[in-house]
Amino acid sequence: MLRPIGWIVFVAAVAMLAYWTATALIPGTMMHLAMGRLEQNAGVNTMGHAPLSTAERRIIVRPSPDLAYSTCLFDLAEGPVEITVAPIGAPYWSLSVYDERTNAVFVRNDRDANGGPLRIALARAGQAVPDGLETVRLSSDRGLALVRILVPERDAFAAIDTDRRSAGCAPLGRRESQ
Amino acid sequence: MRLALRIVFALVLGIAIGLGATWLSLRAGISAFEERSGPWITSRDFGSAEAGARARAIVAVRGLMALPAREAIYFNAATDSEGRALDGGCRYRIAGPPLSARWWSVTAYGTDSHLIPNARHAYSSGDDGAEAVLALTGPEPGLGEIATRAGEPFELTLRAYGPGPDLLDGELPEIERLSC
Repeated sequence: MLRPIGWIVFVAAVAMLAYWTATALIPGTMMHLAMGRLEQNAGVNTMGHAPLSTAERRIIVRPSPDLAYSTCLFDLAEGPVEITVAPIGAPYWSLSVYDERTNAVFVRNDRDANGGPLRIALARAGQAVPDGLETVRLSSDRGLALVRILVPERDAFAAIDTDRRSAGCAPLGRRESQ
Repeated sequence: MRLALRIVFALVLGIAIGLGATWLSLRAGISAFEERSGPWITSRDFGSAEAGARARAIVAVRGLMALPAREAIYFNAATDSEGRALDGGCRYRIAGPPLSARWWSVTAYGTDSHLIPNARHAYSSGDDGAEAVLALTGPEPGLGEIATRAGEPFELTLRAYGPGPDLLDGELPEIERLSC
Protein backbone atom coordinates (compact mmCIF):
# COMPACT_ATOMS: atom_id res chain seq x y z
CA MET A 1 0.00 0.00 0.00
CA LEU A 2 1.21 3.50 -0.82
CA ARG A 3 1.69 5.95 1.98
CA PRO A 4 -0.03 9.36 1.70
CA ILE A 5 3.16 10.94 0.32
CA GLY A 6 3.24 8.27 -2.35
CA TRP A 7 -0.30 9.10 -3.43
CA ILE A 8 0.55 12.82 -3.57
CA VAL A 9 3.56 12.13 -5.77
CA PHE A 10 1.46 9.86 -7.99
CA VAL A 11 -1.29 12.48 -8.43
CA ALA A 12 1.31 15.21 -9.08
CA ALA A 13 3.01 13.06 -11.73
CA VAL A 14 -0.31 12.34 -13.46
CA ALA A 15 -1.20 16.06 -13.32
CA MET A 16 2.13 17.05 -14.91
CA LEU A 17 1.73 14.44 -17.61
CA ALA A 18 -1.81 15.66 -18.35
CA TYR A 19 -0.60 19.29 -18.45
CA TRP A 20 2.26 18.63 -20.84
CA THR A 21 0.18 16.34 -23.06
CA ALA A 22 -2.68 18.83 -23.35
CA THR A 23 -0.31 21.76 -23.96
CA ALA A 24 1.59 19.84 -26.65
CA LEU A 25 -1.60 18.74 -28.43
CA ILE A 26 -3.29 22.16 -28.51
CA PRO A 27 -1.43 23.71 -31.53
CA GLY A 28 -2.10 20.73 -33.80
CA THR A 29 -5.71 20.50 -32.63
CA MET A 30 -6.38 24.22 -33.18
CA MET A 31 -4.74 24.04 -36.60
CA HIS A 32 -6.87 21.03 -37.51
CA LEU A 33 -10.06 22.86 -36.45
CA ALA A 34 -9.05 26.03 -38.32
CA MET A 35 -8.21 24.04 -41.46
CA GLY A 36 -11.64 22.42 -41.30
CA ARG A 37 -13.27 25.85 -41.20
CA LEU A 38 -11.00 27.19 -43.95
CA GLU A 39 -12.01 24.30 -46.17
CA GLN A 40 -15.33 26.14 -46.55
CA ASN A 41 -13.31 28.82 -48.34
CA ALA A 42 -11.80 26.49 -50.94
CA GLY A 43 -11.02 22.82 -51.37
CA VAL A 44 -7.65 21.16 -50.81
CA ASN A 45 -4.81 22.26 -53.13
CA THR A 46 -6.73 25.23 -54.50
CA MET A 47 -6.40 28.91 -53.63
CA GLY A 48 -9.43 30.43 -51.95
CA HIS A 49 -10.00 34.14 -51.52
CA ALA A 50 -11.79 35.16 -48.34
CA PRO A 51 -13.73 38.40 -48.04
CA LEU A 52 -12.46 41.02 -45.60
CA SER A 53 -12.82 39.96 -41.97
CA THR A 54 -15.89 41.06 -40.06
CA ALA A 55 -17.16 40.41 -36.56
CA GLU A 56 -19.71 38.01 -38.01
CA ARG A 57 -17.22 35.89 -39.96
CA ARG A 58 -15.42 33.84 -37.33
CA ILE A 59 -13.02 31.58 -39.16
CA ILE A 60 -9.85 32.20 -37.14
CA VAL A 61 -9.19 34.13 -33.95
CA ARG A 62 -7.79 37.67 -34.09
CA PRO A 63 -8.12 38.20 -37.82
CA SER A 64 -6.71 41.47 -39.08
CA PRO A 65 -9.49 43.58 -40.61
CA ASP A 66 -6.78 45.40 -42.62
CA LEU A 67 -5.72 42.30 -44.52
CA ALA A 68 -7.27 40.35 -47.35
CA TYR A 69 -6.49 36.67 -46.81
CA SER A 70 -6.14 34.11 -49.57
CA THR A 71 -5.55 30.57 -48.40
CA CYS A 72 -4.54 27.20 -49.75
CA LEU A 73 -4.98 24.09 -47.66
CA PHE A 74 -2.39 21.81 -49.15
CA ASP A 75 -1.93 18.08 -48.98
CA LEU A 76 1.33 16.63 -50.26
CA ALA A 77 0.28 12.97 -49.99
CA GLU A 78 -0.10 12.69 -53.78
CA GLY A 79 2.94 14.82 -54.60
CA PRO A 80 4.33 18.36 -54.47
CA VAL A 81 2.11 21.43 -54.71
CA GLU A 82 2.96 24.66 -56.52
CA ILE A 83 2.09 28.08 -55.12
CA THR A 84 2.24 31.19 -57.31
CA VAL A 85 1.57 34.80 -56.42
CA ALA A 86 1.70 37.56 -59.03
CA PRO A 87 2.53 41.12 -57.86
CA ILE A 88 -0.43 42.76 -56.15
CA GLY A 89 -1.07 46.52 -56.11
CA ALA A 90 -1.07 46.97 -52.33
CA PRO A 91 1.28 48.61 -49.80
CA TYR A 92 2.27 45.18 -48.47
CA TRP A 93 1.66 41.55 -49.29
CA SER A 94 3.29 38.33 -48.22
CA LEU A 95 3.14 34.59 -48.67
CA SER A 96 3.62 32.39 -45.61
CA VAL A 97 3.49 28.62 -45.29
CA TYR A 98 2.55 26.81 -42.05
CA ASP A 99 2.96 23.15 -41.27
CA GLU A 100 0.26 21.24 -39.41
CA ARG A 101 1.89 22.08 -36.05
CA THR A 102 1.43 25.83 -36.77
CA ASN A 103 5.13 26.49 -37.46
CA ALA A 104 5.79 29.14 -40.11
CA VAL A 105 8.22 27.33 -42.41
CA PHE A 106 8.37 29.96 -45.16
CA VAL A 107 7.65 33.70 -45.31
CA ARG A 108 8.34 36.10 -48.16
CA ASN A 109 6.92 39.54 -48.81
CA ASP A 110 6.57 41.87 -51.79
CA ARG A 111 9.90 43.60 -51.11
CA ASP A 112 11.69 40.25 -50.84
CA ALA A 113 10.20 39.43 -54.24
CA ASN A 114 11.56 42.74 -55.67
CA GLY A 115 8.18 43.54 -57.13
CA GLY A 116 8.14 40.32 -59.14
CA PRO A 117 6.04 37.16 -58.85
CA LEU A 118 6.61 34.37 -56.36
CA ARG A 119 6.66 30.74 -57.39
CA ILE A 120 7.51 27.94 -54.97
CA ALA A 121 6.97 24.22 -54.66
CA LEU A 122 5.90 22.57 -51.40
CA ALA A 123 7.20 19.03 -51.07
CA ARG A 124 7.98 16.26 -48.60
CA ALA A 125 11.52 14.95 -48.34
CA GLY A 126 12.28 12.74 -51.35
CA GLN A 127 9.51 14.08 -53.60
CA ALA A 128 10.94 15.11 -56.98
CA VAL A 129 10.77 18.77 -57.96
CA PRO A 130 12.02 20.31 -61.24
CA ASP A 131 15.51 21.83 -61.09
CA GLY A 132 15.51 25.56 -60.49
CA LEU A 133 12.14 25.71 -58.78
CA GLU A 134 12.48 27.02 -55.25
CA THR A 135 11.26 24.30 -52.92
CA VAL A 136 10.02 24.35 -49.34
CA ARG A 137 10.39 20.91 -47.74
CA LEU A 138 7.79 20.06 -45.11
CA SER A 139 7.72 17.44 -42.40
CA SER A 140 3.95 16.95 -42.70
CA ASP A 141 1.64 16.31 -45.65
CA ARG A 142 -0.91 18.90 -44.68
CA GLY A 143 -0.57 22.59 -43.92
CA LEU A 144 -1.64 26.02 -44.98
CA ALA A 145 -0.26 28.58 -47.43
CA LEU A 146 -1.51 32.05 -46.60
CA VAL A 147 -1.35 35.19 -48.73
CA ARG A 148 -1.83 38.37 -46.71
CA ILE A 149 -2.54 41.59 -48.59
CA LEU A 150 -2.74 44.93 -46.84
CA VAL A 151 -5.94 46.79 -47.67
CA PRO A 152 -5.23 50.38 -46.59
CA GLU A 153 -8.91 51.27 -46.66
CA ARG A 154 -11.96 49.15 -47.30
CA ASP A 155 -12.71 51.07 -50.53
CA ALA A 156 -9.43 49.73 -51.97
CA PHE A 157 -10.55 46.12 -51.57
CA ALA A 158 -12.28 45.69 -54.96
CA ALA A 159 -9.11 46.41 -56.98
CA ILE A 160 -6.96 44.28 -54.66
CA ASP A 161 -9.48 41.46 -54.85
CA THR A 162 -9.17 41.45 -58.66
CA ASP A 163 -5.34 41.45 -58.47
CA ARG A 164 -5.06 38.61 -55.96
CA ARG A 165 -7.16 36.20 -58.00
CA SER A 166 -4.14 35.45 -60.18
CA ALA A 167 -2.58 33.68 -57.16
CA GLY A 168 -2.62 29.92 -57.62
CA CYS A 169 -2.25 26.67 -55.72
CA ALA A 170 -2.29 23.32 -57.52
CA PRO A 171 -0.53 19.96 -57.66
CA LEU A 172 2.81 20.55 -59.37
CA GLY A 173 2.51 20.10 -63.13
CA ARG A 174 -1.24 20.52 -63.07
CA ARG A 175 -1.47 24.24 -62.50
CA GLU A 176 -5.06 25.35 -62.40
CA SER A 177 -6.13 27.53 -65.31
CA GLN A 178 -6.87 31.07 -64.27
CA MET B 1 -10.59 -3.71 -5.08
CA ARG B 2 -10.12 -0.81 -2.68
CA LEU B 3 -6.62 -0.20 -4.08
CA ALA B 4 -7.96 -0.22 -7.65
CA LEU B 5 -10.57 2.39 -6.71
CA ARG B 6 -7.91 4.54 -5.11
CA ILE B 7 -5.75 4.34 -8.23
CA VAL B 8 -8.67 5.31 -10.47
CA PHE B 9 -9.50 8.21 -8.14
CA ALA B 10 -5.87 9.37 -8.12
CA LEU B 11 -5.71 9.18 -11.94
CA VAL B 12 -8.93 11.17 -12.35
CA LEU B 13 -7.76 13.73 -9.79
CA GLY B 14 -4.34 14.07 -11.44
CA ILE B 15 -5.83 14.50 -14.93
CA ALA B 16 -8.33 17.05 -13.61
CA ILE B 17 -5.55 19.04 -11.93
CA GLY B 18 -3.38 18.86 -15.07
CA LEU B 19 -6.18 20.02 -17.38
CA GLY B 20 -7.14 22.74 -14.90
CA ALA B 21 -3.55 23.95 -14.86
CA THR B 22 -3.55 23.96 -18.67
CA TRP B 23 -6.72 26.06 -18.73
CA LEU B 24 -5.29 28.52 -16.21
CA SER B 25 -2.03 28.70 -18.12
CA LEU B 26 -3.79 29.52 -21.40
CA ARG B 27 -6.22 31.87 -19.68
CA ALA B 28 -3.26 34.03 -18.72
CA GLY B 29 -2.99 34.34 -22.48
CA ILE B 30 -0.62 36.75 -24.02
CA SER B 31 0.13 38.35 -20.65
CA ALA B 32 2.33 35.32 -20.05
CA PHE B 33 4.84 36.64 -22.59
CA GLU B 34 7.98 38.28 -21.48
CA GLU B 35 8.50 41.43 -23.52
CA ARG B 36 6.63 44.40 -22.12
CA SER B 37 6.57 48.10 -22.88
CA GLY B 38 4.00 50.08 -20.92
CA PRO B 39 0.67 48.30 -21.43
CA TRP B 40 1.95 46.46 -24.53
CA ILE B 41 3.09 42.84 -24.39
CA THR B 42 4.75 40.83 -27.15
CA SER B 43 7.04 37.92 -27.87
CA ARG B 44 9.70 37.34 -30.50
CA ASP B 45 8.58 33.72 -30.76
CA PHE B 46 5.19 34.03 -32.48
CA GLY B 47 4.90 31.61 -35.38
CA SER B 48 8.32 30.21 -34.62
CA ALA B 49 9.35 26.59 -34.19
CA GLU B 50 11.64 27.83 -31.41
CA ALA B 51 8.71 28.87 -29.24
CA GLY B 52 8.17 26.83 -26.08
CA ALA B 53 5.21 24.47 -25.77
CA ARG B 54 3.22 26.90 -23.62
CA ALA B 55 3.87 29.87 -25.94
CA ARG B 56 2.85 27.77 -28.95
CA ALA B 57 -0.36 26.69 -27.23
CA ILE B 58 -1.25 30.27 -26.26
CA VAL B 59 -0.58 31.55 -29.78
CA ALA B 60 -2.64 28.68 -31.23
CA VAL B 61 -5.59 29.67 -29.05
CA ARG B 62 -5.21 33.43 -29.22
CA GLY B 63 -3.61 34.17 -32.59
CA LEU B 64 -3.23 31.15 -34.82
CA MET B 65 -0.94 31.57 -37.82
CA ALA B 66 0.92 34.62 -36.59
CA LEU B 67 3.80 35.88 -38.70
CA PRO B 68 7.31 35.51 -37.28
CA ALA B 69 8.92 38.60 -35.73
CA ARG B 70 11.09 39.44 -38.74
CA GLU B 71 7.91 39.93 -40.80
CA ALA B 72 5.49 41.40 -38.26
CA ILE B 73 5.45 42.15 -34.56
CA TYR B 74 2.21 41.97 -32.62
CA PHE B 75 1.75 43.92 -29.40
CA ASN B 76 -1.25 43.26 -27.22
CA ALA B 77 -2.76 45.43 -24.48
CA ALA B 78 -5.58 44.68 -22.07
CA THR B 79 -5.03 47.80 -19.94
CA ASP B 80 -4.47 51.51 -20.52
CA SER B 81 -1.14 53.17 -19.75
CA GLU B 82 -2.21 53.63 -16.12
CA GLY B 83 -2.87 49.91 -15.72
CA ARG B 84 -6.68 50.06 -15.73
CA ALA B 85 -8.49 47.32 -17.66
CA LEU B 86 -9.76 48.53 -21.06
CA ASP B 87 -13.48 49.21 -20.78
CA GLY B 88 -15.67 49.29 -23.89
CA GLY B 89 -17.78 52.02 -22.35
CA CYS B 90 -14.82 54.42 -22.17
CA ARG B 91 -13.15 56.50 -24.86
CA TYR B 92 -9.41 56.03 -25.44
CA ARG B 93 -6.68 57.70 -27.47
CA ILE B 94 -3.79 55.53 -28.64
CA ALA B 95 -1.05 57.94 -29.65
CA GLY B 96 2.70 57.88 -30.11
CA PRO B 97 5.55 58.63 -32.51
CA PRO B 98 5.92 56.85 -35.88
CA LEU B 99 6.94 53.21 -35.51
CA SER B 100 9.99 51.69 -37.16
CA ALA B 101 7.90 49.58 -39.54
CA ARG B 102 6.39 49.65 -43.04
CA TRP B 103 2.86 49.77 -41.70
CA TRP B 104 1.10 49.84 -38.34
CA SER B 105 -2.46 49.12 -37.39
CA VAL B 106 -4.43 49.14 -34.15
CA THR B 107 -7.38 46.73 -33.82
CA ALA B 108 -9.87 46.19 -31.00
CA TYR B 109 -10.99 42.67 -30.07
CA GLY B 110 -13.48 41.32 -27.57
CA THR B 111 -12.14 39.04 -24.86
CA ASP B 112 -13.20 36.13 -27.10
CA SER B 113 -10.43 37.26 -29.54
CA HIS B 114 -12.96 38.15 -32.25
CA LEU B 115 -13.73 41.53 -33.77
CA ILE B 116 -16.30 43.65 -31.93
CA PRO B 117 -19.61 43.77 -33.85
CA ASN B 118 -20.61 47.18 -35.18
CA ALA B 119 -22.59 48.32 -38.19
CA ARG B 120 -19.79 50.40 -39.74
CA HIS B 121 -17.07 47.72 -39.60
CA ALA B 122 -15.04 50.19 -37.55
CA TYR B 123 -12.54 47.64 -36.28
CA SER B 124 -9.13 49.26 -36.75
CA SER B 125 -6.96 52.23 -37.70
CA GLY B 126 -3.68 52.09 -39.56
CA ASP B 127 -1.11 53.97 -41.59
CA ASP B 128 2.40 53.66 -42.94
CA GLY B 129 5.37 53.76 -40.62
CA ALA B 130 6.17 57.39 -41.49
CA GLU B 131 2.99 58.52 -39.78
CA ALA B 132 2.53 58.96 -36.05
CA VAL B 133 0.33 56.38 -34.38
CA LEU B 134 -3.09 57.81 -33.63
CA ALA B 135 -6.26 55.84 -33.04
CA LEU B 136 -9.38 56.56 -31.04
CA THR B 137 -11.79 54.03 -29.59
CA GLY B 138 -15.19 54.41 -27.99
CA PRO B 139 -18.73 53.05 -27.80
CA GLU B 140 -19.99 55.85 -30.07
CA PRO B 141 -17.07 56.22 -32.50
CA GLY B 142 -16.68 59.14 -34.87
CA LEU B 143 -15.54 58.73 -38.47
CA GLY B 144 -12.31 56.74 -38.65
CA GLU B 145 -12.52 55.71 -35.00
CA ILE B 146 -12.70 52.18 -33.60
CA ALA B 147 -15.94 50.88 -32.09
CA THR B 148 -16.13 49.20 -28.69
CA ARG B 149 -19.16 48.08 -26.66
CA ALA B 150 -20.31 49.63 -23.41
CA GLY B 151 -20.27 47.16 -20.56
CA GLU B 152 -17.72 44.86 -22.21
CA PRO B 153 -13.96 44.72 -21.65
CA PHE B 154 -11.79 44.62 -24.75
CA GLU B 155 -8.18 44.27 -25.88
CA LEU B 156 -6.05 46.10 -28.42
CA THR B 157 -3.57 44.61 -30.86
CA LEU B 158 -0.93 46.85 -32.42
CA ARG B 159 0.53 45.24 -35.53
CA ALA B 160 3.78 46.43 -37.07
CA TYR B 161 4.39 44.94 -40.54
CA GLY B 162 7.93 45.04 -41.88
CA PRO B 163 9.41 45.96 -38.49
CA GLY B 164 12.78 47.69 -38.32
CA PRO B 165 15.50 46.11 -36.19
CA ASP B 166 15.09 48.89 -33.62
CA LEU B 167 11.30 48.64 -33.26
CA LEU B 168 11.39 46.83 -29.93
CA ASP B 169 13.78 49.45 -28.53
CA GLY B 170 11.60 52.36 -29.61
CA GLU B 171 8.75 54.15 -27.93
CA LEU B 172 5.30 52.56 -28.21
CA PRO B 173 2.08 54.58 -28.16
CA GLU B 174 0.38 55.55 -24.92
CA ILE B 175 -3.18 54.36 -24.29
CA GLU B 176 -4.92 57.26 -22.63
CA ARG B 177 -8.43 57.03 -21.16
CA LEU B 178 -10.24 60.20 -22.20
CA SER B 179 -13.65 59.69 -20.62
CA CYS B 180 -16.12 57.07 -19.41
